[in-house]
Amino acid sequence: MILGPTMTPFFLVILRTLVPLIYLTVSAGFIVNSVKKRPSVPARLFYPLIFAIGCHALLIALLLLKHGGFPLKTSFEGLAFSALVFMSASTILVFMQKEVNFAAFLFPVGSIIALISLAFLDKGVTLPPALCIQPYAAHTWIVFGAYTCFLLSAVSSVMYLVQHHEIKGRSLGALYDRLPSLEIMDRVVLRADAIGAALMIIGIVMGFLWLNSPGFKPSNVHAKIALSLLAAVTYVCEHILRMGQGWEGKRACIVSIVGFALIMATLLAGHHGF
Amino acid sequence: MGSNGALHKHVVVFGLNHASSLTCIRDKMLFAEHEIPDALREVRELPGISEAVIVSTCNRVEIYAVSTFPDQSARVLADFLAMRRNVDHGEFGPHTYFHRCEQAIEHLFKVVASLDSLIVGEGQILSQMKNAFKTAQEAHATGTVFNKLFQFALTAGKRVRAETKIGEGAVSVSQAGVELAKKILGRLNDRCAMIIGAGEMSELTARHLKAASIGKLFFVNRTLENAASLAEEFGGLPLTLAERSTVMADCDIVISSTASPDFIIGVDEMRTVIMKRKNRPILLIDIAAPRDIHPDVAKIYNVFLYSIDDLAQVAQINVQLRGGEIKAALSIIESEMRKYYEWYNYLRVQPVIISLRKKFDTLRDRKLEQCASQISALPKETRDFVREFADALINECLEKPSKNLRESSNSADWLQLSDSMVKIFDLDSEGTEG
Repeated sequence: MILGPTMTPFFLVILRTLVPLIYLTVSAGFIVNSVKKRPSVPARLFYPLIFAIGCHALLIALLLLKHGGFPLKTSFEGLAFSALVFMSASTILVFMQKEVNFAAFLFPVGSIIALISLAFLDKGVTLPPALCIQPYAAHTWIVFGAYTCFLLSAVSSVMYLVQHHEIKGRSLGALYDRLPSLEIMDRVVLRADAIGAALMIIGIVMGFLWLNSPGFKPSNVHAKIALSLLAAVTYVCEHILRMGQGWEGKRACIVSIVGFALIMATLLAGHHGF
Repeated sequence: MGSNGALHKHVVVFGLNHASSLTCIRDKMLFAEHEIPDALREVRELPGISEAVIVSTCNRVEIYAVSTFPDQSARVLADFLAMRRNVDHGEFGPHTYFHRCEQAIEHLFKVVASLDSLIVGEGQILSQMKNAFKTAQEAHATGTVFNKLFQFALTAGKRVRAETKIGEGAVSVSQAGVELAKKILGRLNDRCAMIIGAGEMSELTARHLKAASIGKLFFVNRTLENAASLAEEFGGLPLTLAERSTVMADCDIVISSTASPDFIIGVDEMRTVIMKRKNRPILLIDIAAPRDIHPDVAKIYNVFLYSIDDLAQVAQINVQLRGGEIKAALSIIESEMRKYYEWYNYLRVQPVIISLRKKFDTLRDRKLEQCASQISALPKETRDFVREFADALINECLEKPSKNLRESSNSADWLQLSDSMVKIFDLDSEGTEG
């Protein structure tokens, strides 16, 4: 019934409205929780959050079924997928690390991305038709997965730098108690960047396979490709410097933010046309 | 109708605490845990005392009692303490306090909510008071009044901790240091700490680190014996100052509190250490005066240096924050005390309500008995219906008067109303006075 031709758009509209609404309400709840410095994880906020993530996943699934396969058709669909992965990863992170302080910073970011992506779901730039054919469709999924990891890392890096500034400067302000420990944030940056870089490299390799496909013309090489390569190299360098030169903490976070700036530049550069 | 005994009894508290006495005096008055049940039995045998709870912690020794003669209770309890602890009146008398009735109840609520503690908001007192009450209950030293009063006081204590920020933040230098370590290094159970110097501050910090489940502790001192004694107490490893540099690179926290006139940790040494650590963060806490660690060490990447002044500032901010929560805590205390007084005041009219109910029940039984021969001829269902109907009629008739009387217990006209009830329904007036 839901997947019937008339019911699907209606159901999608309901989900598109409901999901960001719950995300934003829950995020506001976590911010209030953080302001009031309540140390425990409030279950009454997690239940609607998990429900919203479920609805979000259902929405993406319906969308893909509507397309008659598994490709992402527009840039905002990709963003909606990123928002889902971001919210899910953040929830797992808060639970696994038992660090409720992450919630007040990560969930609002995810909620805003979900709000924007779901509001403009069908208005984004249409992805090239080649990306709707397997196996190239996986390229989009993998790259958006990598973007999500880099976003998680960038938010954690900013949080790290704020906390580092407070502690190193011996001026322990209002955020000191409300931010997680430096060690946890550094660990999140390390892991998110590692997973993101691995996905990015896989995505780029798939892109090169596509480059060798019969439809490719050298004139179609785009700035996005160059920026993506630069971003991947930045994240790989971050790891090499971490392991070899002991660049953990502040320096790694700065490199991670630079990497994310490059990722943003790739998004602003538009789509490569093949 | 029986008299309500609780109404003739008054809550009193006699004792001494951190504000009224020095530690040396309190130490003499302390009760060991195993002594308390016997002491409670003895207190209950004192003239006029029917219920008792003894609180004995390092910061306070207090006897809470329910007494029929509150004016004499101060002397009686002072004599008991002097006899039981074998201490002269003159030695501890000037350091004691005595509160009765409302003041005693308010004092109890403030103690449980940790507003009367040496460090406002400390969390131990709530469990200590809970244990004291439990011990008294097990020794059958509590009754109607204390069972209810302590229940309300403990609820107030729990609410204050849950609904205010009174227990938040480190309020001592050593505690602030450990909290800071957690903010930099996360969980401390797989971390290593080095404590240089064997003073009181070192001991305090070691205690807090141990409480935070620190993985490994090194104690460094010029004299190995001093380091060894601390290491033995806290389960660490003793080292001499010369051996320090060999393990420093493995330590995530270094706390220094020696009496050395010169810096004992310099910039060059720290650079070498951080290089060996491959830039892994390290927290240095300098609680010595004069300083043990060169201030320029703070400029090195991933080295976090805090002095005693920095930590004292953190602790001071938290003390002020807790102070700001006192108003909210007092409002919770007030609300729970009001509930207690409502319950207590209800005891004033309870005998009239019970008597009224009994009167009507007796009347019903008498009337049913009078009609027994007619009723017995009826089928069982009809007999049950008649009985239920009589019960329902009584409930309906008494609902409003009972409710009004109950509500009047907290107002000034409760006595007038209950007297009227007694006269109108010809009840026994005994026990309805306040």
